[in-house]
Amino acid sequence: MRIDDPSSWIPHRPPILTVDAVEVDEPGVKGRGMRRFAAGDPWLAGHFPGNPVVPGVAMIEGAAQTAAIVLLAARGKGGGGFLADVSKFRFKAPVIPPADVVFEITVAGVFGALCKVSVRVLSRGVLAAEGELVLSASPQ
Amino acid sequence: MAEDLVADLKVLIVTRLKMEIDPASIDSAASLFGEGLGLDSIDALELVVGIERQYGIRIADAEMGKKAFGSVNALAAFISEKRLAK
Repeated sequence: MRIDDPSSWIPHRPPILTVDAVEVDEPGVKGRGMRRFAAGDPWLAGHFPGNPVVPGVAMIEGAAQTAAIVLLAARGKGGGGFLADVSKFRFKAPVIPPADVVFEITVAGVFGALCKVSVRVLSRGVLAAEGELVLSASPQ
Repeated sequence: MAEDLVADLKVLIVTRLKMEIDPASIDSAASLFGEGLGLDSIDALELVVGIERQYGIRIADAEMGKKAFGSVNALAAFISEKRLAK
């Protein structure tokens, strides 16, 4: 299942919307988000002048948005959610724009409204970052 | 056997939650949350993942979690019960 309109699933809007499309391999379990970081991308403003590098926080946000859509796909409708925890993140290689970035997410566990996901971020086939997130479903 | 499970669970709790305490110092009868060990809901999720990986037992929802996470003794009893039911 491919989702080309992430904003119809999550409430994020530019400039914070950080995923262009999501491939849901298994709803509620596994998927991949895609995002192109090109010159002029809002995430690159000031990071750094004359030496653009995709910020680590943009990778975390893109992965969180991807995870939210993969989870919401299991119930077949959009909704909200919050980032509850960020752990074990390691940034392995700088991502220099223009770059196509892939956020791979796999659900590791669910308990109540909380969901733990493992994240791998790749660019040009190279592992740029990996770590774990906990997302909390919105009460709505 | 039950005592071994209690001791193993204390090690699991300390390891998964990266606590800097001696596992044996955890009171087996004390509440895991609130005024007991002071864990929160994100810690509970981490324990759910750890218990599923180590024992193959799933704590599916918050209602089941209330029973399982009452204390280390309650968690051991919950796991023993689920093992017998398998």
